[in-house]
Amino acid sequence: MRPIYRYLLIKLSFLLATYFVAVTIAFVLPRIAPGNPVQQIIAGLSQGSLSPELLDQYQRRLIEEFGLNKPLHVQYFEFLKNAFSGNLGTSISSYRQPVTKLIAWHLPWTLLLLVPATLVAWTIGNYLGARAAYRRGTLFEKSVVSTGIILSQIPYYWMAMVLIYVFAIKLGWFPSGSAYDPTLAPSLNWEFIKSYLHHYILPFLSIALVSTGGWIIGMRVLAAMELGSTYVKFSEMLNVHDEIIFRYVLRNSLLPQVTGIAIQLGTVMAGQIITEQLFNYQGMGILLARALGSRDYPLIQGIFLILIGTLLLANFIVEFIYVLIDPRIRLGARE
Amino acid sequence: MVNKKKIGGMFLLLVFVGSFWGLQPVSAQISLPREDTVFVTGAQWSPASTWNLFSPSQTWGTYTSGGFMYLPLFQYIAGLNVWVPIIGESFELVNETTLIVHLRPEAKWSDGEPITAEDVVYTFELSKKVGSGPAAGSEPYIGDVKAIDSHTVQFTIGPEKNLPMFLLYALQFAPAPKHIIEQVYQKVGNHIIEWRNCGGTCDDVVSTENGDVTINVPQVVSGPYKLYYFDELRIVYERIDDWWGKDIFGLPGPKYVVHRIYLSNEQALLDLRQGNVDWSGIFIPNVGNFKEIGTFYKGKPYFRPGAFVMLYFNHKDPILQDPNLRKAIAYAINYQEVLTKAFYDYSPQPSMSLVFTVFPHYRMWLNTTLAQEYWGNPEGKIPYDPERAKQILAQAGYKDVDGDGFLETPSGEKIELNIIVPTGWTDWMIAADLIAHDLQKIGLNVVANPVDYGAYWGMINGAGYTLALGWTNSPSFYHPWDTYRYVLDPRLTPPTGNWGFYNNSKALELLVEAAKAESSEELMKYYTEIQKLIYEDIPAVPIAYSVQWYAYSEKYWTGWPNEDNPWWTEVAPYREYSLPLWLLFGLKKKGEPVSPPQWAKPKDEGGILIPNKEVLSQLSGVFVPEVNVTETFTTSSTSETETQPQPQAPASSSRFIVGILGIVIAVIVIVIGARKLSK
Repeated sequence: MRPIYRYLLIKLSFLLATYFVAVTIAFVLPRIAPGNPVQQIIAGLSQGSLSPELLDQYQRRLIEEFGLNKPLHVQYFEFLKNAFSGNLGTSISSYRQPVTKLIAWHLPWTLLLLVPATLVAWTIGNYLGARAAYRRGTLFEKSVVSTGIILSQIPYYWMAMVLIYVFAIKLGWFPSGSAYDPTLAPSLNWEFIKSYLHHYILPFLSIALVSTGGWIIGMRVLAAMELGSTYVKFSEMLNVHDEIIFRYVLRNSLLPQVTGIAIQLGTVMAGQIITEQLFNYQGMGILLARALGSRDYPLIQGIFLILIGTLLLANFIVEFIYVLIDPRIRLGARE
Repeated sequence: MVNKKKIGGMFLLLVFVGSFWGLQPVSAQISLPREDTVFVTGAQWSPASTWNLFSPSQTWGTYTSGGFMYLPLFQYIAGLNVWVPIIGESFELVNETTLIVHLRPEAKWSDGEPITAEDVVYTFELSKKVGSGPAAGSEPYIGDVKAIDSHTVQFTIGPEKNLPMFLLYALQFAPAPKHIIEQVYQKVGNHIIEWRNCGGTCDDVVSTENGDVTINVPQVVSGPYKLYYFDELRIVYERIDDWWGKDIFGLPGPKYVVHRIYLSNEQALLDLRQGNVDWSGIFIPNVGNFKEIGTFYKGKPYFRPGAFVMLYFNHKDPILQDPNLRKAIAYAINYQEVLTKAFYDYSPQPSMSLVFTVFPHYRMWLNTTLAQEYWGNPEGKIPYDPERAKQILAQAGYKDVDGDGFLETPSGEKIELNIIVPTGWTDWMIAADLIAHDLQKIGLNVVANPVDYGAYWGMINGAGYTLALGWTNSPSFYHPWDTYRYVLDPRLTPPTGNWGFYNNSKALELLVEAAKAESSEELMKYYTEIQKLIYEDIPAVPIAYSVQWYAYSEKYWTGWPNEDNPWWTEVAPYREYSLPLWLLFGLKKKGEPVSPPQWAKPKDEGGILIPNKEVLSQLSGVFVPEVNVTETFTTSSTSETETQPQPQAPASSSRFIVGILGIVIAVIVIVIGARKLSK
């Protein structure tokens, strides 16, 4: 077998095994935690003056309907069967809504916020970081680096809170939350898009500003190392134009940052939960928080499957690209 | 370089367009005029589910919480102690077993069909058959329901012979449109509980044994609003302008009612303060600081009470089975401090009698002489007396044997208690902390233990706690009997009642007898006995009233009920049945003069409201035959609650094993994978 196939085969089996384990954990974890989704639905109703018998009946019907009275291993095998066939079941807290539909509704909002914010932060951060490294010792470097350090140490939610306080509550320039005006429905017309963009700015900034800081710091270190390499010294000796050297340095130190962005997208997803809660922004973060809070087993499982699945797949693709561009990895797989 | 830029740009564009593409299926052109719309929050915390009267899980507005799509025959209003005749016009208890209800001849479904006795009978029978819906759990209380003529219904009492529960079920019964429901039932049978009833705004697909069935029927309601639009963050209802009740009740002010779904209280509060939300049922700390938010009272306590906040003892725990310990705990709590520091002075100290003494119409059921005798004040408020608490414990033989500063039981057992509260419920967390400190002061080892809401429910349900802060139900027309039942009835299990797993046959006997009392004198006799039992046995300690969260913004709407404008009582939007609806009838756009609806007055003042007194006097005028008490102990609900799956305690060991197994597998696979790769 050619080493490249062998390598990919190992990677692929590893991918499947990890997926299986992740799926199992996604099944087990919410069930180990005490409490179940049905109790919570009923508990919410028990505060009123509905008769206990009615609530009792409702509780029993719900437990039956969602198969929570079946033995755990039966539930597990049903879930496994479904997980590999693409049927993620129906949500309990959002009663009888298919999990896939819920995810399909929430995911675009997160992507729309997350991907541009991360890409913009990545571009600006890397450019500023490289510039700062290139202009070592100047005021520009000092101000960029110190801003970068401060920004990168700020938690997303804190930045979000500050932005809400200053721009929404004190100045009133932007709305304090939600993805669009509550009197509108999502549709492709100018009124909606205007409202969407107006609501977009604060959450976008809260994510973009903080991650820009991280990229600046990372890039400055990489670029500084690159500046010490012999080709830069040689070019300087040849009196190559500054801008051209800078471009070389930028390009050559970008490679690790490309890997970084995949990881970043994953970690931002986590930070996103709090940001979305603060802005009441209807993305995956809110969906996950709601699912966890209400112990909605099918929904928790579904979200984790999607998140883990995409993360694994992204990793696999990155590794595949490495194989193509870096022969060392290909050869390393040979025994 | 240029090419790369192009690719990057195209990728971005793709993400944008693709994401919007994903939104397309749920989009519809809506644009709600702000001045015609009332925005609500605090009743619905997860996205819309069903609008189906027969479903165990319903969206706000349907029936079980804040229902106004399906109206009941009559509706009891606790704050005013009156009944609103809605679909029903009048009723009479003919004798001890029979109730006759006359329906309004004007009442019509939203498609123009009349609401008849047939609808009531059909709804009742179907609901019993599928085990869900307005008659769910009514078997002990309602025997059968018969249509005498098209607008007269006869209810017969069930085997339990419990008049208050019989009336509660029968009078607050909400009928469904037979001509629509019949079609659905024919198609999907008992799967009808899974139907979404959104009248074409969503896919009403129900999966049955014979595959998926799409149900295409219009949404037909009896109330003045029906579903207009919904998505993950909002549910929008639109007024039916030719609603049948227009000539009797008038039309509610807002054309649209929108419930906005939030994940956090903070965002909802922010929107309330900014006027983006008009009517709210969320927890608000220090509401006095926000001038832009209206509440029922202008000053303290701002809100009115809705239920009790209780300190529950787990009576299954052997240590807590000693009434001396429970009594000492009751004396050791500094109630005033808890009310001020934890509950923002929103509530006075409640009475140990569990009577809602803040409402004058319930106070009459408190035996003041008895309260004076036990607690030294006629209100039955437990005094803060740590010395007395210590004395009780010392007399009962509690001593610090091992010298750790905390008392041990008379038999030398260590006492380690904790008070569970849901995390994030900041007022409750502070209260638990203060109470724990008070109890430490008398030598009890007690700590506050905040756990997440899911875990909290698991622990309560599985009796896996020692002390817990919890709540009771809201008062019904038969208060305090309903609250006594919620706290004392051993046939109930949490979350439907009896959170403390209290099991006292004397208490049950009194509850059963009180439900059959023939006169208010007799009823008072039983209540006195129950109060005596509570005072002596301390099954649980009321700490505060849980507030009925009703707040509003006047930015767009005026005419909100409050102490200056008490034509109607405050209504938290999460209240069950159609209660929230009635406040909308008095709302006017900002600037328009406020005029309370004509009908919102008791009958003798020219309105249509039936005073609860009338209902109670009908009740006490009825002769009730003797029923053997011991027989009622073995009602169906007892046996059923036992066979009912309790996923907590029994399953936890197997869960644990599966969990460990999963983690072990995970570790093994990761290790093998890592080694393979590193080779």
